[in-house]
Amino acid sequence: MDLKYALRTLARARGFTFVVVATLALCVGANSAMFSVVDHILLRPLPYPQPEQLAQLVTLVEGRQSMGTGQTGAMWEALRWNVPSLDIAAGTGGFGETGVNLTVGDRAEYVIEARVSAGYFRVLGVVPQIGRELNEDEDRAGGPEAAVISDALWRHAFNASPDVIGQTVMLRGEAYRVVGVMPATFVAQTVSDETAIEPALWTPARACRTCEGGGQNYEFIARVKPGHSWAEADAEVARVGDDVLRPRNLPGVPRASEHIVPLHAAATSDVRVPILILWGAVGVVLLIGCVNVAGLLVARASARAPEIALRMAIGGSRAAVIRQLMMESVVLAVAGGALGLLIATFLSSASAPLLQHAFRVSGDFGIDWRVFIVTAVAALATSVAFGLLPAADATRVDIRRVLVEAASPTIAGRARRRPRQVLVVTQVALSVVLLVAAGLLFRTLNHLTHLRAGFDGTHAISATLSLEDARYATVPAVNHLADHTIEQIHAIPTVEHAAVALTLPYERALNVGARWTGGDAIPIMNLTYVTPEYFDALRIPIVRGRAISRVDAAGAAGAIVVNEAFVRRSSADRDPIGRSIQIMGGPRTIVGIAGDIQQKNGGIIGFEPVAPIPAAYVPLAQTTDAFLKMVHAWFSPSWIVRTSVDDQNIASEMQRAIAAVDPTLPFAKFRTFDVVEQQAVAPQRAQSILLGVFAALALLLAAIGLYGIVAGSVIERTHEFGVRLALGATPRRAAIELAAPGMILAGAGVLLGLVLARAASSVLSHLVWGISPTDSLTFFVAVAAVLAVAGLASLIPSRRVSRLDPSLALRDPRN
Amino acid sequence: MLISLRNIEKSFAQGAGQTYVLRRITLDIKAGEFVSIMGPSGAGKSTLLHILGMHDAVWRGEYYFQDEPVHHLKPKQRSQLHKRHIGFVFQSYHLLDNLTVYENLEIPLSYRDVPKKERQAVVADVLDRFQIVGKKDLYPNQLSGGQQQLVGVARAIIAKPQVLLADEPTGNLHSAHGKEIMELFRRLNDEGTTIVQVTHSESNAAYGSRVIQLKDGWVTGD
Repeated sequence: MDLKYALRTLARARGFTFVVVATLALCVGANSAMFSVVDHILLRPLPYPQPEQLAQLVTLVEGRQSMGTGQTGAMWEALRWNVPSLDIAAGTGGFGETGVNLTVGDRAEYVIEARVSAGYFRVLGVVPQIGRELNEDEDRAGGPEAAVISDALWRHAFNASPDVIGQTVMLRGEAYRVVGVMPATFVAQTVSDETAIEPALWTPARACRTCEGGGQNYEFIARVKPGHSWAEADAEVARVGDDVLRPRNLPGVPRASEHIVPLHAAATSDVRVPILILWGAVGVVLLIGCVNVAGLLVARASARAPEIALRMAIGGSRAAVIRQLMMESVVLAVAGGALGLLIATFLSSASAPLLQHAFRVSGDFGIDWRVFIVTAVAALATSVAFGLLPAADATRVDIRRVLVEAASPTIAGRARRRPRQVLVVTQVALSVVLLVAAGLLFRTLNHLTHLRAGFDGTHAISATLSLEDARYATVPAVNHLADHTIEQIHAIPTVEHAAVALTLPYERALNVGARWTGGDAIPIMNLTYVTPEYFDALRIPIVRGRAISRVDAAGAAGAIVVNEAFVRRSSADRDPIGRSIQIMGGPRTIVGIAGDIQQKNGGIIGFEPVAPIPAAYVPLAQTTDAFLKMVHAWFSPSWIVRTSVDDQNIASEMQRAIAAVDPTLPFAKFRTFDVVEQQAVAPQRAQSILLGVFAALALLLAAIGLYGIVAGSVIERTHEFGVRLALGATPRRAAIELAAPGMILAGAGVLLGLVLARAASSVLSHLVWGISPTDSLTFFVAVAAVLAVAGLASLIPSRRVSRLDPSLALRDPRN
Repeated sequence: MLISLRNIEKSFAQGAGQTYVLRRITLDIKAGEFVSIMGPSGAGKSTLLHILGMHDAVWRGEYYFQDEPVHHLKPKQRSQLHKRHIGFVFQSYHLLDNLTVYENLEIPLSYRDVPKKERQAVVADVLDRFQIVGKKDLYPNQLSGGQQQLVGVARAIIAKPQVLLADEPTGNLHSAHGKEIMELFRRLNDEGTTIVQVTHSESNAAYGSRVIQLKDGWVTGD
């Protein structure tokens, strides 16, 4: 009976029911979707056996919060066999997972490859479903080439043949023997930095202190062995690591030390803060929504005082009446929760691409049973908890007073309005906080996307291909490829310039250290190789001196071009033209200064996520075989073509051009420079979009709360305003008087919100670039938006009084 | 004695003093009586009626219902007593707008834990008795004032209370409808129900056998 009456009562109060169900659905849906992200990335244990025993080896520096996961070959050689409590393996991490050309039979495809040491899968605790993992013999310099492949690759390239072990795949033009197949359920520990795609195969890392091991280009994972403790392992690692780090731990320099941290924490360290901020934001939205629902339930209970009094007058006990009211809350909760689940499912799939690129995770954030439970509990808790108090309070009604005096809820309602007013002030305050946060992120995104690019990307296109290939392991081979493909490309009528570069603007570039010849070290900077037309193709200005040109051939004097940022940081007191730098194993003379371009920051401290990083350019022809072998393991170089007009066929023409030189080397991806730029700021874009959506939702909910208060006031004070109008008040004045309390509440909420936003700005400083976390314009706009919406929410219902007929209003105070 | 009141008083604080609504009300009502409480506006008539109906718990004095000391009962006990013995008719009908006529009649029975089958039988009987079977699926806003008050009276007696309290039962009705309601009250009284009504109408008071006059909270005539 209670359920039947509840459904009928709610069906008759369509406006109230719609607002409550919609509020619950939006809040619960958004929270469930965000929770599925948090759960997937931060809460779920790693999908390996005994994940609590898995660690990552990191370098911690005194006074710095971030942990250095990049490790050198020297550290590998020191740690590998000298930490009895740990089983350690190395990998080249997400940064080193790049695309390579794989040929199986007569099929060629571009796949993601990861390089790992022997024992990598043993450390993770996962056994190949067929065959074995890489062994020590394969993981040494000069060892046999072997590969462990993924289940997906096994199925589509080998038709899931059980005889795959021992078969050969061509990788980078070299033959690799398949030694194992990973299970279908295996989840790679890291994914490609650029593509968020899991590796298709794993090959030996052969970590050593030379070549890539000269830099911090490895990541080490470890498993604490049975019978050993975490503290013991950490102490051993620190002791061994101290020897390796001693040369850098000079007096006066913040001390670095080696430690182990839980693998899950290390893997999520750079996304933890942004995710928690977003989760906090959506939690605030839920709070605002709950406040709204509470306010609506309070108001509704108050308005139903006569009905409640009557039920008790004809024999209903308090418990029976409360039960009836709570049944309505439960129905609302079920409807809101069910709709919320649908919204969560939609949001999860719609936002998955955004989130995957933003947080470098693969897989989908689908709603599973845990999220469903959280959703259900959130909906029920909100509705029941916020329905119980008003219901209990409503049954303390003075029956006689309500029924006999026809006392409108006004009398009892004025006291009841106070809690609701407090709730609305809170809602407005929280909306201000979210709007300020969203505004700061939008302005950060705006800052990053409106940085002076430093080049002209119009009518220019880039195409990438992997040169991690045995046939292109030498400078002459790569140079030959570049020269002849550029020649072919120049035959295309619309082409003005064509060049090859290791990395593009807006991309993360190679970090290298260098030294002035006979002088001091130069701080870490970016380095890329280019061919002669590079600066013309991208219209990067040469500020002084000259660009890389054909005179900078192999055997000629080593030349290098630096950018303005390099000059500002490292040669501000002296003209750099003509100075000599020791880099890539030899001296090079600075021949020119190029204008700054924006690069994605690859961990150089003191620069924004996208910034003009100090950089240098070397001629491709003057690089070394060892350098090319190293960099082509991490980067896929790009061909850059500028056309005179917008040429829709340029991509296919470029494919023909390279096929004419090497038919087995297809271009992997074509991108305009708009796309390159967008990818560089993908995390900031995702965060600002998400936070913007949450802030808009919060503002909408706060507006609904304010609207409800003012609308309720209109109903309660209709008789009063009927008298005022009859006494001569104008409708305009009456409307303003009705709207004023709403605006006062909004003002109070804004003041409180400003204080809270100011306090929250320190949390947001991690994500804000180019502006201050207490940026006045952002605060002002947020406040103006809230006041404008609050004004509308107050004025719209108050205008009802202008349509009031005083004679009707005076006749029956309940009309 | 069915109802005995001894020195019932009700007041509320106003400024430094007290404003009295009822002053030392002492009266007895026997079972089967038809009593009318009359007096000018603000005399305390409705207040007295709601005290008798146990809707109001804030008063002083002694109230005995069938020798039970209501003034000593806990709220739950009072509620039980009220449910068992008292029905109330309101001036403004006070039907539940979201319930049909049938459901409005059923709800007092459900509050008294009457099993569903029995409720159905009792409601059917009352609908028939009041000749409103054809209206059982209508909502209150689909009925005239007289019909609504008829349903209000039916609801008040459906649980067979010993006492029927009526607060200006015809105050909002056309005289013809009012007459119908009063005739109904007479029939109920003839069947044994004790009736106490508040009324301004002399003609309505004439249906009863006793008139209690109230003025400024005092009993000035009985």
